[in-house]
Amino acid sequence: MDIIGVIASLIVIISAFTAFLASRRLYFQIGTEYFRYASACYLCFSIWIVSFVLQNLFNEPQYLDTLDFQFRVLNGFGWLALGFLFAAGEYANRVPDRNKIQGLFLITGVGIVFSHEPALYSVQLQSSQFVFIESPAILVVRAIFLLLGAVTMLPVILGITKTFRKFPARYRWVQARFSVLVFSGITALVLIYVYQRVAVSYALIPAAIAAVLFFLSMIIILERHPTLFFAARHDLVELIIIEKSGGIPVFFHAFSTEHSINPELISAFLTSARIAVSEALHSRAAVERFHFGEAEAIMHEGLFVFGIILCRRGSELLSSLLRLVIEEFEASYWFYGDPDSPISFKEFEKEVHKYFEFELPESL
Amino acid sequence: MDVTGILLVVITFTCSTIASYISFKTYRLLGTKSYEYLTYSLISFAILPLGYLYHDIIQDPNYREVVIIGTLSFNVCAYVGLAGIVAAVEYLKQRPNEFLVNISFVFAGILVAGRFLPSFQDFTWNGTNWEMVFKPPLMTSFIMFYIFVMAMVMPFLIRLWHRIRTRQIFGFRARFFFVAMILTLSYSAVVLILRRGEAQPDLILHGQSYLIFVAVGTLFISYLIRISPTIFFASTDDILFLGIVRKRDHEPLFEYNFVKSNPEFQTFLVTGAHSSINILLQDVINSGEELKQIGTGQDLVTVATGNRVTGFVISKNEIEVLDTLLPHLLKLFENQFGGHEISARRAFPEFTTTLESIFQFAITKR
Repeated sequence: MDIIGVIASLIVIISAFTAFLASRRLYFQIGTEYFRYASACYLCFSIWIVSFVLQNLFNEPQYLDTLDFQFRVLNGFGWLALGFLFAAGEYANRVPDRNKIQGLFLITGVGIVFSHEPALYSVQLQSSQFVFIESPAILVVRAIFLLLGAVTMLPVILGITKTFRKFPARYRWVQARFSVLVFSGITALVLIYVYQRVAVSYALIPAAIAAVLFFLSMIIILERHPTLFFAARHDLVELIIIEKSGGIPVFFHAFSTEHSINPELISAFLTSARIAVSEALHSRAAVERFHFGEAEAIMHEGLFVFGIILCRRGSELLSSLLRLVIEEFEASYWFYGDPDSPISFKEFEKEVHKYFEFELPESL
Repeated sequence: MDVTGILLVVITFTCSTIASYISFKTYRLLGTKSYEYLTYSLISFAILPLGYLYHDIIQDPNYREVVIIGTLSFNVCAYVGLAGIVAAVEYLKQRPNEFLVNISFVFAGILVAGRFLPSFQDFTWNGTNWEMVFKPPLMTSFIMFYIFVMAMVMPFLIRLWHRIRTRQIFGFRARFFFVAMILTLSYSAVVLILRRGEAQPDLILHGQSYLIFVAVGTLFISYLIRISPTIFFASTDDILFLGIVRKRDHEPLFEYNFVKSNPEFQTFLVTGAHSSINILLQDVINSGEELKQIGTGQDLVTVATGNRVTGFVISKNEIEVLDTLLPHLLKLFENQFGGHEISARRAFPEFTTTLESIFQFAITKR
């Protein structure tokens, strides 16, 4: 038994599982396919790393046959993890290429099965360490898969670096963390690959360190800047929160300074338009959006206010963010409605900054 | 040479190719994701039988490797085709579950790779013909994949049967085809599993007889699409109302209620709101685009503008095909009545016939 190897692997599993929980929470909070696939990726990574625990616990010849099948099955989760990771990268785009995603998953299935073929993939014990011997066929499939994955992830990484250049002061520390994230992720994959194919037991320690750094960086970035990966996609104009009973705007934030907008005029107009359309359709539900192709006016109704986001280029993310903003607003100002207690809502700007930082000017 | 096998190949290839062509043409016309994936699937099913030509023509055990590579290279297209069918059915929904679609492609990849591996499949000459036998891991994956596909497709087949029964346009022939397709599907599933298992029963079954299902199924799909390209898109209650108004003053020109029990929609409120929203928000958002949809939690209003008229459809869900059909309908309306000065709402009974033929999929049986 290699105790250090077992402990290192367990630490990696814990960090991967924590990343899964963080991503899952964001999926339930914000929605979007990106967080769903990212959660699936981290969960599959956690399961895959269990094979490393087994490798280090049972590194003796009498366990070789027993563990052979376990390794093949768990290795499949490694393929799935990468498939989900690349799919998450594609879903971070505004219009994901579904054919590319399905091609990735087709190759994932091929990779999973190739790992089960003894003629293509075998396990040996060398110097108290399990080593995986692969045929060129698997290497070719892996190379195609990684190439397709790199082609998928590159635009996402370029989009994020563009965001860093646009907002250098705001994202100063995030840039460093993001660099650590990318570098540690690639290093971890390379070192794990080397460790599994060459009987060099100490290669597991740096691989584990790189993997833990990757997951920790991901968790920190997700917790502090959950919308970072969507930054390049949107072009927002205005956020307005309107009191339902009177149609009066109580809060507004302009994302764009090109056009000066009269929020009272917009609020009054959209309130009447919503009522007119609901009456015309005999609909019990409120109007949720006006859709102009790429441009949209998205609405969400709370208990005593409703919110509007006007955008030239939007996505599914905005509906979720608007819902969160309205919920925060009502939770903060639930007692609003007393005409003798006028309140300034300017401090609510901080909440807007938290959710919409990807669209705010650098000065904020 | 296996003449029966070659005949099955030719029939299946012909039916699938015709179906692919019809599906492709419909995709060009309607441009929906469902038809895109359906076309890919039908092309895969057209490629599938070609592999059996190696199998049926080269009946010599000395050419085993050639037969294996040739047969399997084409046969595996079936799994990609089935994953495409899952995608086509899922993209008919307003909120498709892409996760399940992607999982179906993982399954397809597993089966594609598994067919080529010697530890998953045996390919032998039994003295008179070639035999493909699946080992337990491949057989398990095979059965699980088919169960998954059936689970995804069965609700759609049930809805399709209901529509075929409730539409006047589909007569006995469509029902016969549908029942034939279900029977051959059941028969094919039995054939495939029994013939690929190690203990093969001594039944009068040809190893390729499951191609009958592919032929019948693709023929049925092409027949449905020819009769009604929009058959797959909405149930009879999804589309509620269609209205056409004059652009310059919003005078209602034509109205059609798809569901007779509908309350009366106050169309002037919708068109008035549409016009004002268009002007104001285009200016505010600085977008050159026209208002295309108004969505409430319950209903959706899809809007399209022609040269002189604006049309809108009220539906319960987002129906992708409306983006193409509504502008097409407005063009027909303007071509038919554009030269006249239309000053008051008229019934336009002749246009009702045109509309009913285009929106046949949304009209309840009278």
